[in-house]
Amino acid sequence: MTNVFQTLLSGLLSGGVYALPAVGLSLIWGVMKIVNIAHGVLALLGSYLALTLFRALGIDPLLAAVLMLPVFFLIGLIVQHTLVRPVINQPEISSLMILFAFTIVLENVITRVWTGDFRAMTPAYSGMSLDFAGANLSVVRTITFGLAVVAVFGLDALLARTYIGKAIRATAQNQTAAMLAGIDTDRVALIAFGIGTALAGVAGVALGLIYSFHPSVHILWVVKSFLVTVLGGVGNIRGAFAAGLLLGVAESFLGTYVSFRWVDFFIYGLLLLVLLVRPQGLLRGAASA
Amino acid sequence: MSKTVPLPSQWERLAEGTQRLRPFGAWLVLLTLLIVFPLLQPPLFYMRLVGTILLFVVLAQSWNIIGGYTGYISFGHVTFFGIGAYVAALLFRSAGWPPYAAALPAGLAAALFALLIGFPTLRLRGPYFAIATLALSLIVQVALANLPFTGSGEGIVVRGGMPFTRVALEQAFYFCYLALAGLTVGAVIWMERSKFGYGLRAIRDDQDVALSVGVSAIRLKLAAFALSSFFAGMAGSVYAHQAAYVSAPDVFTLDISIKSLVYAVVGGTSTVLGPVIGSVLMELLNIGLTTSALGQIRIDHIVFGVLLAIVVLAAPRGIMGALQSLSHIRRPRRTGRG
Repeated sequence: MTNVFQTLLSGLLSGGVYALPAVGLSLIWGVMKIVNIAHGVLALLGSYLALTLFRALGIDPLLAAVLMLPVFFLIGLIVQHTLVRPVINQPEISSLMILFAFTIVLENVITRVWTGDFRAMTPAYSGMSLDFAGANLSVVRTITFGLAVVAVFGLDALLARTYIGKAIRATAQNQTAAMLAGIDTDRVALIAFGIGTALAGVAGVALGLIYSFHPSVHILWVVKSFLVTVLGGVGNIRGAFAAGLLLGVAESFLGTYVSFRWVDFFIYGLLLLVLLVRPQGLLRGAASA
Repeated sequence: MSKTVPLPSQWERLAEGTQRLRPFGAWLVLLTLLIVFPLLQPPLFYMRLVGTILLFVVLAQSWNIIGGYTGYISFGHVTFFGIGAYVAALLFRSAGWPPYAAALPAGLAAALFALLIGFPTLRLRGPYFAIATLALSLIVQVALANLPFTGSGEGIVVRGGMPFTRVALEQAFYFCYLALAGLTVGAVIWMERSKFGYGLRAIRDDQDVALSVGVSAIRLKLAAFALSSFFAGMAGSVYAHQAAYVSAPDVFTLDISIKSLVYAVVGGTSTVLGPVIGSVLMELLNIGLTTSALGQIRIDHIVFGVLLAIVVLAAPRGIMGALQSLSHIRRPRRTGRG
């Protein structure tokens, strides 16, 4: 019984962190109708930057996560402006290809700078754990879960309450209508890409805190984000959060009760299944924040 | 700049006599040269280099069938290469089959698998298909790395399938790749002229219109995917014997998927010559990058990614597209002069 509770709890905690990169992906996908395959490698860049800040300057990864927001927002603007926008009116496969090219380049730049070794961030609190109703609660997982909740619901509030948030939702729902209503949809696409990438940077720090990482792990990250996005409904932020929790719990139970080795197989298989059955998402999509 | 040299009349007569072979003349000359090349006993390094280029001709050209002519970009071409490699390894371990015998069953297994997963995935729109193929290559890799009969994590040793001396062995692999490259290029040349090829291009350009004129989209797409995977699987079977060892991380490396795509796209998709030119130039570039002083910093994939981005942004039809538009610019001038 305790074991079941423990499995559930750790599943929920890592599931919250899965939602973090997924909401960024979901936002970009919802607004621009493109699948940002570079999302995982951008997150991974966040992990490595936080690692360097921590190792070289002793900056706590949590502070680094905050620093990542403006940096990755800017990176997102640059990527969108120089790579995605020029092909946005071409068949959608062009944007996927260009982002795939960017992914290859960035992965190998990361390998050049940080080598291909497995890395882990180990701040002082990384080994600590709390006792919660008889279950073991890792401090770092609890913190990253909190970080994910703040980021996801921060985005949710941004979309619901601010002008740019409303413009983003309008563009996601119907670009032509949004344009007719006087929204600069090009600018909205740019900003949405920036916000999505900023969230990827934060997600990278969170993922880097709880898992060890290496230059090609981003494929797994982007596939998981893709899965969470589709499960939650494209553009649906709260849906992505719920789907992240679901995936985390499913993974946790599978890893504990079946076999740790088959977890990835299950993730990829589930992705394939979802793609085949309902590529438009399980929940209602279209940025219904 | 260059003057048009008139053909000597005896050549013209010869060409008339072999009217049917005329469009393939250049290919036949190339094939002959490639058959003669290893018999001249070149240094092993060069033979192996040309063999590797031929392997990538098979991979890029077979990618071209699904990614170019059918318009379904695959990020997981390695899946079929890897399946072929495993089939060859299993056939060798259980029955001692050499690569030239294992190629056909390996190709068929890959094609069958393509049919199986193509049936649902080829109904998806392009980007979803691309991601599905990427996920698939990872699924198959994880499965084969964990199943007991595929040697789990240890892989399978495939040594001694061909009891030759070192030179003869290199030659044998060379000819295996040459035969596969010939088959693949031949199949695409046939495709260009066949109803099948026209149907595929019709689907790619506008699926709804193609459907309305009676093209059976899903059947043609499945056939193209199976054909593409068939060649990739055969290439994998030969590679398994050449590498002498098969393990899931080795034969399902994303590297193969990237190279198949990049070589075909840079050369120019939906053309016969594009993937061939792409494979030759890019593989030479690859060798240059990895064997020169630059090799220590492994910038090959960075260069590939940058080239892919440049092609998508500036020359979507690749080297072939650029050459074609150059010749279009030149042609009016030539007729004006003549």
